[in-house]
Amino acid sequence: MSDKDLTEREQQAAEYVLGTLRGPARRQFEAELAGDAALRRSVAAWEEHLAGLADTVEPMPPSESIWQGIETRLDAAGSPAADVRTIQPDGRGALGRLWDSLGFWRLTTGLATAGALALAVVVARPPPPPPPTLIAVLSGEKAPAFAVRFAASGPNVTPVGRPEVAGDRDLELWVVAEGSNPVSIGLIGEGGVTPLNLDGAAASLVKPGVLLAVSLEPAGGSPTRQPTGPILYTGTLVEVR
Amino acid sequence: MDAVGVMPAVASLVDGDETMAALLSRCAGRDRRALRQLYDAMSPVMLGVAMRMLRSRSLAEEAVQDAFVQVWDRAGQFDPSLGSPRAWLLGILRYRALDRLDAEARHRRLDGVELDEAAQGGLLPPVAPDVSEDSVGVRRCLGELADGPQRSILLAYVEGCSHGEIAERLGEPLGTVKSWILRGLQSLKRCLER
Repeated sequence: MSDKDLTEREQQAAEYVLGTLRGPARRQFEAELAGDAALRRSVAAWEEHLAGLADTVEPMPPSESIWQGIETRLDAAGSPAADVRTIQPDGRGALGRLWDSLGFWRLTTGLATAGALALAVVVARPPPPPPPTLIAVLSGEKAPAFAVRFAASGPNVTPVGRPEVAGDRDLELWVVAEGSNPVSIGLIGEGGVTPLNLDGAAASLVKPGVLLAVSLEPAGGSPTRQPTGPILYTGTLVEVR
Repeated sequence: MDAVGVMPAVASLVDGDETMAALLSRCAGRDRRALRQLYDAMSPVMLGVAMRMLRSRSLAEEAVQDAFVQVWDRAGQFDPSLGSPRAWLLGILRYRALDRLDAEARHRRLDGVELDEAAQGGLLPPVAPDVSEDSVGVRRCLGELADGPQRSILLAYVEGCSHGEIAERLGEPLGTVKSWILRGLQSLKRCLER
């Protein structure tokens, strides 16, 4: 065995991080990890090595209910809660810039919640003039089903009819621009307003006259990044002044 | 749509290691607003990763919640000398997603069903993302591996597949897959450390 070979312990650490150490072996490893600093170093090194693979995965916009669930669990655990709404922003410097950029990010993605967080950002840095609002009403054979809105407050989709989805399927929304493949801009959640995730490539396709389409996909969305199921609803984007 | 167009650049500011490390240390001091800022910065990628591993929006959302509750509890244990906050957060998320996959596997064994329908029925492509064009770090190194080890490692990390599931998906013997992964990890380490 050359010095470049992994020791048995390091193999375990690597496979733990990769995810192929499973079942009882994984639980045993986690138990040992607590009392073994060298093993923790090895795990941290592998976490660092492999973290770049997560960049191959498309990020997804979380619904606000996920955060609410976290807060509920922290409250239930009796953690002393710092109230998000009453804490003042930090001074300038790195965190101040974060504050600006984070708020700006929240503003542009429509993830902003009402309250001092967003307000503080408005005070700290006035938002740029809003881009034009674009909307599309997506209809199937019978009736309108969804309204999609791209506005300064962030893109989102709202059900307007009573679209039905089989339990184990998801509805996925696509931008279909002429001359390029459909680009997914997110899954449509059940009920209520779903914020959408637009990366640079998708954002550049969003223009008046472009077709939006909703397809029926396996739970979690199309595995191929292209529509695989039937197109249920379509609509064209128009500019609203 | 200029405001939307600048989003990725802005998000990467939030991802800065130093900033995230500062947020983690504020979490350790029980500042819940810092947790919210970490959540805003990292939850989209964490939810994306959990979705790929668990293939269910509700399970993925639960895994993200598990992860942030654990981040809150363990923020004081984060050691910036061992790795980046991003890698630490992704690790926690993936271990909690693996908990759920392990629990699901136990259920399947109890039910006497070997693999779920999705894994058998061709809903999931056996193809991993193309990494050959990639130029950074682990993805560049992964691109240097032979096809089998490369696909096996991606299926494990990205799709949360076990040895057995990878063997099934690639149509290769279990022993082959196990040795591909070990050799692949070893090559990755060599490549990353040279």
